[in-house]
Amino acid sequence: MSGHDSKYFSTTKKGEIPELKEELNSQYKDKKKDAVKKVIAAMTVGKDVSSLFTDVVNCMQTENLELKKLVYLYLINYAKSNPDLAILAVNTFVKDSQDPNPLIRALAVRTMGCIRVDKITEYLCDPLQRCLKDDDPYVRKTAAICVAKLYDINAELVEDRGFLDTLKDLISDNNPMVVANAVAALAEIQETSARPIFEITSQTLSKLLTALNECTEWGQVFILDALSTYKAADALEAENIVERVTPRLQHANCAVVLSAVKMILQQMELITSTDVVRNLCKKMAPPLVTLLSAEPELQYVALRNISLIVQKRPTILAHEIKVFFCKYNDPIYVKMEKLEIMIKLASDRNIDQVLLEFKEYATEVDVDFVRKAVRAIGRCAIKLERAAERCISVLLELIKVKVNYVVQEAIIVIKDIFRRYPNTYESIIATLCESLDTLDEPEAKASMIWIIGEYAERIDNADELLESFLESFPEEQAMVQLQLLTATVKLFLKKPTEGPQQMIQVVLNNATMETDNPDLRDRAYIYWRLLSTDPEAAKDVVLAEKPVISDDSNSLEPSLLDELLGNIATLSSVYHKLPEAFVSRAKLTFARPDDEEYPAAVETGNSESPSYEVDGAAATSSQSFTSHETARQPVPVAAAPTPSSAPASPPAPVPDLLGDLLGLDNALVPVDQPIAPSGPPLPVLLPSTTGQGLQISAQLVRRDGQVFYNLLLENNSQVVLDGFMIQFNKNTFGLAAAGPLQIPPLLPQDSARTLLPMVMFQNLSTGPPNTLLQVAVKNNQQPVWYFNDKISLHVFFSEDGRMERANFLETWKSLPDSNEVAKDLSSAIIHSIDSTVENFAATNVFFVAKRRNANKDILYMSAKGPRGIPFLIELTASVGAPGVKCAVKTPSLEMAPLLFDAMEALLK
Amino acid sequence: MGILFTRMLSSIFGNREARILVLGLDNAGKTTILYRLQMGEVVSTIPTIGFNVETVQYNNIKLQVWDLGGQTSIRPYWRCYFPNTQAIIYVVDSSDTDRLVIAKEEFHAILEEDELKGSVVLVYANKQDLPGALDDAAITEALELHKIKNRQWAIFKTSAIKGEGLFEGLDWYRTATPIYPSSCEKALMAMILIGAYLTLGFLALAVRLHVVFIAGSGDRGVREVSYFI
Repeated sequence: MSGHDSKYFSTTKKGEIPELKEELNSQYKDKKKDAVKKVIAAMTVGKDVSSLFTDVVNCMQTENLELKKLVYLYLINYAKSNPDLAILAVNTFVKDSQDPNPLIRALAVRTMGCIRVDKITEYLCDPLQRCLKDDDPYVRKTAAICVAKLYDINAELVEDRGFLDTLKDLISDNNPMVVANAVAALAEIQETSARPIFEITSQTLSKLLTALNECTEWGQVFILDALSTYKAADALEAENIVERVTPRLQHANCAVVLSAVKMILQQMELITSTDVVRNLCKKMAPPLVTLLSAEPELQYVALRNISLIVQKRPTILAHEIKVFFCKYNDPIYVKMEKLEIMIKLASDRNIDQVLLEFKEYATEVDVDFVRKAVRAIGRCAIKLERAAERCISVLLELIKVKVNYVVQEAIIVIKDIFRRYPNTYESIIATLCESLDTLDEPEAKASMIWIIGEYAERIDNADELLESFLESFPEEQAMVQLQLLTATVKLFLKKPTEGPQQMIQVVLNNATMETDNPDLRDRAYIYWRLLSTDPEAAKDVVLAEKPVISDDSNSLEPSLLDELLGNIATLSSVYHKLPEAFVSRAKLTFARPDDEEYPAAVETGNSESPSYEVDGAAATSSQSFTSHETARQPVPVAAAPTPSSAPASPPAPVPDLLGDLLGLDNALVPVDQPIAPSGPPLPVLLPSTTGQGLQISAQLVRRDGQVFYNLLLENNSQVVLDGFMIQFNKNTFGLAAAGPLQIPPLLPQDSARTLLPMVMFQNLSTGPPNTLLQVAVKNNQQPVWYFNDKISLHVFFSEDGRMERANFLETWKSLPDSNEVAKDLSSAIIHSIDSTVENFAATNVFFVAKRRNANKDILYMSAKGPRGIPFLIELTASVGAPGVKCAVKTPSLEMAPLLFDAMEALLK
Repeated sequence: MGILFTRMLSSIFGNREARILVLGLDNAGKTTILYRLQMGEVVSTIPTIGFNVETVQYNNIKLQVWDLGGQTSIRPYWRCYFPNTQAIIYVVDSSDTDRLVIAKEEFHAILEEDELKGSVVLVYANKQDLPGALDDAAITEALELHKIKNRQWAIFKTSAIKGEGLFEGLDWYRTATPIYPSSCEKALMAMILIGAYLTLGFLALAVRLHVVFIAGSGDRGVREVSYFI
């Protein structure tokens, strides 16, 4: 049985991908095309066919347009997952963008824009440039959009290549479609850019208005949207623009109509003549009404927009309230919106009609809609004083129907009516009290109790009514409990008889002893104290005159409304929210040191994206690559130090954790000695003149096989500086802080010294090695300080860099001569060989051998740099005379200049 | 069946396109050579970032010629094109003496590739029109062509600008790869195939008739037949 089972592991079937691969490489064109179709089909249903990338790309150069389109489609999907291989497609794009067939040229430029791979964008600039100036308008219009896409990938490139200017030139193109697309592209670019890029001038204005009449419907939308941002110089110009745009109101496309409405509304702000405004309002009404005959979804969008328009200019649709009457088969979301607009349009003139409608709605079956209708009646009553009585009679009629939820809703709105018109309609309270038993919703209950409390003196049996509620006091919702409490107090103050006194005792007891709700308890205590100290004062407080309410539900702030009107026909006007509230689009900020924000340290935990992060982030970033749960815990960004014993008790876990995670157990940071022993003076990197009194001196040092940043901070300013943090920019050796900077608050004229443990290879920069170390230090009082330090290579020389003579010779021979470079260090000097050797040994440059040759001493030394790179060093010098020739042989030659720098520094 | 048959036939009679790669360092003249071969004229080129592929008809052979970009960044992707390659045209800029060492290294790296074991190698010592261009012997020396033992190779002095030497190279390629069957062999194979096709057709017809015949005699018979088939 055994022995034969191996056959299950070897199969003759190749699987789909290899089969497709074979077919893609087929000799036959039709087979190849079929294969590409199969690949696209697989891609469409979600199978990963990215491994066929080169094979598909190889089919790209074909005469067959269909095949080409399919390959392009594939490219758009998978270029991102194969960014390196995407370069293979570049030549074909370049070729296709010069194809005699404009369709292919446009196809190429469109696809180029969709491939969002940084590496190939620069190759695509030339073809794009050509296509922007193409003879064929179809190619030009496609290229225009491509610029916007490219801007999204690499804004700088677009600006450097002058594409923005070309795009602006396209606004004067003789083809309206090109104009429309150029406008669309510019508008899109403007949205992501912080600088003004696209501003319509009076010249472009006339061109846009001309193009408006000729281009397609969506082109018109782009142009109208752009025009609505234009600020006309005066009323006359505004009138002229509006006149040119008005015909768009008759367009069949809702988007065009809405954009035209938006544009006209914006310009109307400037128009002073009331006649013109009235005329325009008249003209805008029919198209808006027409929008309501579309599908329900479109109706909803239209209604949301109309709701804004009506708030701004009710006159437009004042006579059209009938079109907002709900049809029985409208979807609920349309009905709700219509109700809202009906309330806004309701006036003394049409209120009878409207009330009739509302009453009708209140008898429908949909509970939510019925409630809203009842509430609408109440809101009309609050809005229109003269109609209030009619509204109340309708409400009473509805209460008589005795439908539970209608009654409850009616009571809620009647409470509001009482608050709007105090002491006017109390006669209906008796009717309300009849339905007391049916109330089961907290809001209705609370409203009813409020009414009873408020008008306790006019209700004979108010105490009885309240008592009936009190029985269930502990079970009630907080809302009801609060109202009960207040109503009872009111009752007691108005009728200080025995019954209410007992009640109040019960309620206060309940509300103070038996409840967990602090609001309720607090209120109860306040009443209790008021009542027990000064009942008269309590009367003044509790029974004080209340301000009259007005209906402001569902109405927007004027400033918000204006902004929303500027966004008509966008999602923003449907949500009634500003775009910023729901779209997160990173505006390109041109990094200035003083406005740079620190990203939240622990949450981001990504060392690659921003150059500067809080030092806590540097510490956690390394951890977030591990799956260690503990590493996820936020690391204290800065210790909370006390001035007296600050550096002595740093939060120890940080370096420990790091040590564990990074496998640096042997390099554990000695946290108990953060104060650096005073050595030679450190170089001043941030003089106090530039640092507003803060002076920073610092140097990289090596202690016990570990790299530290030796920092000295001196506070020469007049204020206490605290909350110090440090961050290192990407650098050649990927140096980063291994823990937070532990500096106590610095009193004026105080200084602090620290050894900041560093880790390597955390945030590596690319490019040739250099010694630049960019550091940012911030505190709570000052802006962020940036300064540059120089990395000296010798801090990385490790203790195990010693080489035996034979080993040295062998290594020397194994490296080709091309790996040897030499440099004359003119300012260096060797005073005595022994002391030099000793000095070198202290920095882990180990002496191997020496010889004399023609009055010169030749020293051979070895050192081991970062990542274990060996350096074989030969120093030639005459003792006591300045000038040392340094030759080095190393496998990584690009480090040699850094080594020379280090040697020069050591020999000074 | 019919389609299958046409395919079979076309695989014999239709001219298979041989796949040829044009490789070499950047600025060696690969793209110019490709279009000189294809159109017979000199086109102005820009550095190829990616590839060009054209079908070149020369005498009665059809070649699918792939010109791959020679820039350092693209050279690693050459290997994507290696499978099923009949020949490599390695183009050397004979006037660029500084980079002959790199050209040699790249060349021998290609020869090491397993996927190219069976392909013949044609070296074009290009840009002979330029002053100071090395001749074929010097290029042979520089590229260490004599070290090639296990495959056929040839070197030609070419000038893509003048159009010299290119087609001589293709002529050599034809003689070096006699993969095309002679017309006599073709006819024979075709006849065998036609015979086989007809026999199969008759067999199928016979079986179908048999089934119809037995189907009438009951379910059991049908099942037997289906087993039989």
